[in-house]
Amino acid sequence: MQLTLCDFPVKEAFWGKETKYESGRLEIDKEELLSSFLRDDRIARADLDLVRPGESVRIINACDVVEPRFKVAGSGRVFPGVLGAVEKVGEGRTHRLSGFAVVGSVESHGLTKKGRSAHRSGLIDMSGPGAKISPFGSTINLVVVITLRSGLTELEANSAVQGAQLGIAERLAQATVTQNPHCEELLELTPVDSSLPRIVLVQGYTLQESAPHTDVAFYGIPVRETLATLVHPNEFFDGALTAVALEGMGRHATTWLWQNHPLVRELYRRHGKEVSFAGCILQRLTHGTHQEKEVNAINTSGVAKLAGANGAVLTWAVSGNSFMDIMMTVGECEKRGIKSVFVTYEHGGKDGTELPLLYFVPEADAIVSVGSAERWLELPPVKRVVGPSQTIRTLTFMGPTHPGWPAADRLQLDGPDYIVGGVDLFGGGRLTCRSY
Amino acid sequence: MARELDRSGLPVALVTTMFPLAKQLGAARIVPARRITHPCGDPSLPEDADRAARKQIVTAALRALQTPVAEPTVFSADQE
Repeated sequence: MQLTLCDFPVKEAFWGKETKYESGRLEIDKEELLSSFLRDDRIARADLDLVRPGESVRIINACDVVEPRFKVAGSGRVFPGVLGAVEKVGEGRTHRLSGFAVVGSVESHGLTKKGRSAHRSGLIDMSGPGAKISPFGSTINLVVVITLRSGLTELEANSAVQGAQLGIAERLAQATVTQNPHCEELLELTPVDSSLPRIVLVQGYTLQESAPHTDVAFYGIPVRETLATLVHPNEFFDGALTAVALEGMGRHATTWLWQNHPLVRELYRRHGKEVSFAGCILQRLTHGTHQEKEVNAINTSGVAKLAGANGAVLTWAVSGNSFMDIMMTVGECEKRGIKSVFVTYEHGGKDGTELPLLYFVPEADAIVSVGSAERWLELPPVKRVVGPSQTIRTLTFMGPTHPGWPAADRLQLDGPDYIVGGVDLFGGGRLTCRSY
Repeated sequence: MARELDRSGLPVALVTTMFPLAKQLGAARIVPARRITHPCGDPSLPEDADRAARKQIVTAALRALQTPVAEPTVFSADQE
């Protein structure tokens, strides 16, 4: 399976009479996007906004973030199963608009009002300390501001927002179709020297038993009752994995992160040089019983073994329950002779003195920390707020009856979890560690 | 919380699905639960069987409370 990923960097974006890309300048026809993608009975109001790094702007009600991509050769469309028919992706040529993102900013009053499966959103600041901790503080962002009709089911709400957001992302990247890329990368798991360590990426994902959607969908399906699935890394780059569109916690992986998975990218770069990349195992976490957890762990390590792995990089996201599942998997991989490195963020509390990890197994003797998810964060006031209103109501700690906060004010946040992309999940962040 | 209550002299039986975690964190008496979302029962069972499962878990917890322990100990509900 051979995929050429072609890079079209966006240095400047502005509204214009047509949608076109030329030497790093992206012109966007706002009216075309509004009429093609945001005329949906389920959407009560919609608008588009452009924000740039360095501006005194705060995006509120921020949910998923998507990088524009378009397939110019090879079967299927980007985001298969969501935008088009289910066709195998990961082959041919795909264009990407790098340095640019489509951000959903959504107000939704669905059927679930409280708890883990209710609609939650986060913030994106385009300047100041908030911009530094998220990749989306340094991308030019097209914000799709949507207010949904009230009373939609969670799956209907998700499909309305996701269809618009992914559709816009595909349309924008289509503007590069006749152009030559700035650079391109050939992605193929070529046969390599068999003496190199064979490494598999174990990628955990979560779900809530009470929620209709899982945190990530595979070819448009929120995969619930499943054991480990072996996935070709090229499928990530074509958007076979899409995030739920109504979730904006920092500890939640966005579609952008699945498309640009830093561990998949890095394993690919080292393929044939330092490692032999065996592919990715998608592992459902958050199992409800101890027996399910045990079966999940032994099965995933078994699939890794069958894939010929003698080394594994494991990572995960979100809950304590799922942390236990992935940690048990680390233990089972090691027991089968697969050397395992676990990549995780830490807890540790506000000053770093509390327990850093919820649970451990003695076999987990190589762990890479990507930083704390719990430190305080103070955001300065901003000049302009982009979102369905000027009031923050949907951060995780607030119920639907909370009067809300003026969004432009100084904000004291309980942690980077309230910034979309604020918690480094898979090792793509900018933090480093030095002893002194 | 279980560990601190126990330390202050109030015996505690912690019913939890994630019992290896409870053991690692030093809870004194641990009773494995059915499911994370339904610790003390199993709504997928017929009503009588669910009631029996609930009774088993609560009985195990009561037995645990009456048993002196020196280290984190798991009390299986299957023995009831």
